[in-house]
Amino acid sequence: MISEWWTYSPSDLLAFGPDAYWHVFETANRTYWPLPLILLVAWIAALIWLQQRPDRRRFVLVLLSVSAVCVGFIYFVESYQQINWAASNLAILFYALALAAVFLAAFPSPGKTRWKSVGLGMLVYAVFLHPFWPLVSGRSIDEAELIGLAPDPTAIGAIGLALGTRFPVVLIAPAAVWLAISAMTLSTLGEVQAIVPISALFLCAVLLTLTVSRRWRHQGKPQSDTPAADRN
Amino acid sequence: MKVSRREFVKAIGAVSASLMASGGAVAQVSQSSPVALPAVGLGSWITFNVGNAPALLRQSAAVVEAFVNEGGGLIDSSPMYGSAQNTIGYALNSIGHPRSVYAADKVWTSSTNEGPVQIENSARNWQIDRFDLIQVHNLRNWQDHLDTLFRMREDGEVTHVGVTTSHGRRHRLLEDILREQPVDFVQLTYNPVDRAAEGRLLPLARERGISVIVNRPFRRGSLTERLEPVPLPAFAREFGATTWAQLILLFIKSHPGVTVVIPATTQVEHVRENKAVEKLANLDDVSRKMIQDAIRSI
Repeated sequence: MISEWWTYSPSDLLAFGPDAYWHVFETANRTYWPLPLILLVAWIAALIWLQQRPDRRRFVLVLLSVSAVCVGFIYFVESYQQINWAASNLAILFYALALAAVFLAAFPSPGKTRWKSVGLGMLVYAVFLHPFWPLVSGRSIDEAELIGLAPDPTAIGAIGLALGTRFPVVLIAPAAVWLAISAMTLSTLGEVQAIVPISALFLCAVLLTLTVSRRWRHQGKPQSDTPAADRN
Repeated sequence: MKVSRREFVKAIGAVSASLMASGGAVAQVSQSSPVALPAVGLGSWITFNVGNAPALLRQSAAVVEAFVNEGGGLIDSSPMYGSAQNTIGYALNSIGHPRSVYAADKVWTSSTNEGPVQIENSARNWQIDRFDLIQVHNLRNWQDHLDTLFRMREDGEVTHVGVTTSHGRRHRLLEDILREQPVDFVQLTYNPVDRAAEGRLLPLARERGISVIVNRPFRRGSLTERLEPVPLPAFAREFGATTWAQLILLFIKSHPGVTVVIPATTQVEHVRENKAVEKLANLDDVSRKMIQDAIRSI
């Protein structure tokens, strides 16, 4: 039976169509209103604060943790579960994300800031631009995916935030797994929006490759290449 | 007057024949407890999994209503289909639970004990007291579930019992089950492109008096989508079919081993188009081969 699973394509496993899928976001937004608005405002405030006080990243990580729990319970368990029997299991990814965010908030570190501007860009996209996809696709704005309640912008925001921390992988790993699932779902539904999780994953892959190659080059350098200031 | 089961089956067969002769719904017979079923039923995979979206629920209810207005018959669902059961319940409730609906659902769990609970829950979702048919979905934990279902059939808690598979999977095991187990129905995939069931399963089911439900007639819509831009072959009109969907359904229902085909749709027009196939005369093997070759060449 287990080996049989490999013979199924994503379209064999997807039990819903695009209309039902997009309506899940409307259901979550309506049912928990005004929580989506409160979370959105909190994220806008967090972004502004992060620009003014980069050392306070830990408080934004706490907001990410709260957001990830909201996504896990409100979106996956309460809303998406209605049309996808596996949704409750997927919530685990966001609970893991919440734990990882708490861990990073509890053990703050200056971290490497090389990709911070890329991370900020991802955060800005997740908070301000992603909610407008329904308008691009000719759907109602009621189906807007807001950070803190919808999984895609929350995962993209988590990756953006992770890029300014020392252990980005603990946030990136669950977020990337979700984005891969989301990419597969949206592609199977024939939705252009699949380009969003695919692009986010591609960006992650590029950054990972650059980081590894830089580290490798750095380790390969001879001792004499160290800056003069480091030698007394 | 005491009527034996064989005589009863024969009598139902006669009713079916007269229905066919009158150009009405094509009727078929199940051995253990005879029932006349229209040849075109209604599937619910994907199409009825609409959550609680009011507009989509109303659209689904209109599909069920049109199905009933066109003669009704077998509606099939599963606990695996998300909110499809609830949608059917909503639709049936809105039209007063017509008697022309034959309620078919499935048990889909690896837990033996959970089986009866799941069936009870499914009936609640459909807003009915009992199902006409319960099938073991994709042969999951089939031995234990069949034991439960046979017991339920004996106790009158369900009329018929069946097993299902799709995409041509596990046909060897299905064949063994059809040989050894007293099931009333088998559900499998069959269409002009997926014809694996033709070799052994359809003849075996016919030989054993097991009714056959055909799923995925349009390969989840991809087959009709592929054929849509291509003009219908000239012979289609002679057969009475005006669309590729009708030609495919006619091909399927004309196989002597097939009882019901269950296309799923979200469109009232498609329901009417599908149900119209019931009125078309069954084709012989040569005509069916023409359809098969025409589709294969595209």
